[in-house]
Amino acid sequence: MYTSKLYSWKFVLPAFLLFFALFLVPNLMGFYYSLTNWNAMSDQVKFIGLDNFRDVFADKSNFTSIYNTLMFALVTSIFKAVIGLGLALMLNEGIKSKNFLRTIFFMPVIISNLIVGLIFQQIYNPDTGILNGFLDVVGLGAFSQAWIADPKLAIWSGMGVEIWKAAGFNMVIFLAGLQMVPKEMHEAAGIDGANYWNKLIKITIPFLLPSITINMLLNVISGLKVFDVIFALTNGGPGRASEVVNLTVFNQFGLGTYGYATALSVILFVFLIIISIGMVKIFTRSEVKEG
Amino acid sequence: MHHMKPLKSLTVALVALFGISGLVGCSGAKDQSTGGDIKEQGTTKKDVTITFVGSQNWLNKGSKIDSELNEAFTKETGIKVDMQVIPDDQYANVLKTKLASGEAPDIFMVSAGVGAQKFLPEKYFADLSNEKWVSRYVPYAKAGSTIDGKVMGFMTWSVDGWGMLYNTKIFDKYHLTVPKTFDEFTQSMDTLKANNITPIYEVGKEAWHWGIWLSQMGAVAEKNNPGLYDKLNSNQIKFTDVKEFETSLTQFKEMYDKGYFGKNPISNTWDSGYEAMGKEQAATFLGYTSYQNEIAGKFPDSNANDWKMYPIPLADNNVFSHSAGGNMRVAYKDSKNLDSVKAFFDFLARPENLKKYYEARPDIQTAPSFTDVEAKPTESGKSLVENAPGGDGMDMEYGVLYWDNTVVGKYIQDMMLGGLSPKQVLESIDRDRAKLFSATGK
Repeated sequence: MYTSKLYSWKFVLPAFLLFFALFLVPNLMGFYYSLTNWNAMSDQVKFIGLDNFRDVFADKSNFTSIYNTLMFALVTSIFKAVIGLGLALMLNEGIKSKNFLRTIFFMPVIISNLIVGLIFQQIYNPDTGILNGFLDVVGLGAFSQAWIADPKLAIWSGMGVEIWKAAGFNMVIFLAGLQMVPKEMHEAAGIDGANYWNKLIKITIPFLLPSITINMLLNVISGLKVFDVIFALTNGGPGRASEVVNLTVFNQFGLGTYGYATALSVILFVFLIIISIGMVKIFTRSEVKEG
Repeated sequence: MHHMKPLKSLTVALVALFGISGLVGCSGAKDQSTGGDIKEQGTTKKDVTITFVGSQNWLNKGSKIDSELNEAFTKETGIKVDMQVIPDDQYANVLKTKLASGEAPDIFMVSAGVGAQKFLPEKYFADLSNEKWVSRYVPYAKAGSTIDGKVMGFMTWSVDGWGMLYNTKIFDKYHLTVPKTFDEFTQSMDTLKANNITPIYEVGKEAWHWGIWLSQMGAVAEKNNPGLYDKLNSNQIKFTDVKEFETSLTQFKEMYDKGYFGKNPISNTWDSGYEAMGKEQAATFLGYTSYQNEIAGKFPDSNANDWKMYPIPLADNNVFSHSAGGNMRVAYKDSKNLDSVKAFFDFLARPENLKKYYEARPDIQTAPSFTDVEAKPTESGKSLVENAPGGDGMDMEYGVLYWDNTVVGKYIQDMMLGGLSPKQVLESIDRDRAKLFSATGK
């Protein structure tokens, strides 16, 4: 009824003032500080132009953390969505224990990331961890690995934790989306001889596009912003093999190079904005419009 | 429009509420500060509270001694001590924030030596050179708490260093002696390895522990090149220019490649070290001189109190390298309560209070900072000095500006796993330092 009604701008004002003071101002100040030599060792903050940005890109070791972050965002986003969709489709059927199972699969979402990191540190332990123990028991001992001590594997092990943790969240959003799929269409398609896959691809997925958009967007944003899981699990190690951008920012703050760390944050922010806007544009183009 | 009215009035009401609560907040703050002023004017000592901030692991460790002494001081003088303890990994950041935001506590704790530099001593530390207790400092305590010629810290700690703690029983069993050269060292380690004993237990999950190895090489490098630390601290020389550093890293990598650190050293946590040593699964550990007491406490059958130490045998090192005395309390230069703070330090420095303090802290009894308290060196402390004909010197953690064991340790982990060469480790350290030097205009 009121979908196209415009309310007075005054209604936005209280929220905007809070948002402006608590979010925009600090962020804009961040942009400024990224152009300075702000650091822990001296009191004076000097404007140095784009030097921090030049240093960030001149230091090759930063590419590892940028690469790790992008890979982390890409891989976890896809797997979280695919597994979440699979779980949602299964638990949307008439299974007896479906409410119980929904709760179980959603459970990891509510556990603190730090606790999850510490638990998986034990699970991944090459000598005493239950993952290698399990592989040994089922006769796949040859596949046991130093999951977080091997520099090639560490970031992938981190991705595994994130996927395990957040697939349940994707599932909930997909479950909500599945309730919007009109039953009549499925019935009509069934009468026309469509099988499960035809119905899934031609009916269910198109109706789920808004859910896919929101899930992918949230997945990518949380993937790019990843910090606590990696911090607790590997702390970026071994060496700097599993370091992600936010961890580099944290470590640089620890070193006292605040301006440099802020520049890294700004770069991450720009990445986030570009990728988020791009994704919204791509996904919303093909959404099914109701009514 | 009829629908809008209740919403509009709700908004107005909310805005008004926010506004009022803001005003209430302001007036509350004003009242508080006025109240504080009144208190200050009527100065009886009873109204004074000094604030004291320290890192968790530095205060009340294994006892309540710091709190007890604070209470005794309050009882005697009426001055209250508000001691705030902050988790170790947050401490430096919290303190920096407090200083930067103008909320400097009256007393705060910092590392002795160059570690104090990051808290801007010139701006925040009071000069304590004229305090009476300074004359009773042992030399290392005076040196470690002196910055630019002024004593700026009140230290009740112990000087300690890191060395190769070895299980004497295992060494005797295989007829091994303290190695004097790297070749002798590798021979001993090969013997142990051949007998299925992990030659050295490395707690490799902790990046900082890898950093300690290189930090200890500073003392021998300084001995071979007098003035090295000064040059490093004034940015006249780089880590890549010091051959002892590259040699030691190359040999260190050789140790790793030969398997001296056992299987999966990168997964070993700090706590796992006690068991590995206490249960004789490993023969050697890079620890501090009181570390053996901790093993003996957890594994009494190990006889760890009899074990001995020798300096890390890399790059022909024969020097006992040590800290600048751990940490110290600093008085805030512009504190309103500076006199009370000085009275507090005087109180803590009384011989009877120092004795009480050190008795409650077995971990720092090896070399107390004051002449009034008797030193109780451990077996490893004594043997480390005996096995170090090259004398002693300060390690890089305490002697070299901008040293960070964790950051350096991560580069070394990378080297062990084949990601960086020894030279690239040093280049990485130089790059980090260059950033900080350029930030401070040096």
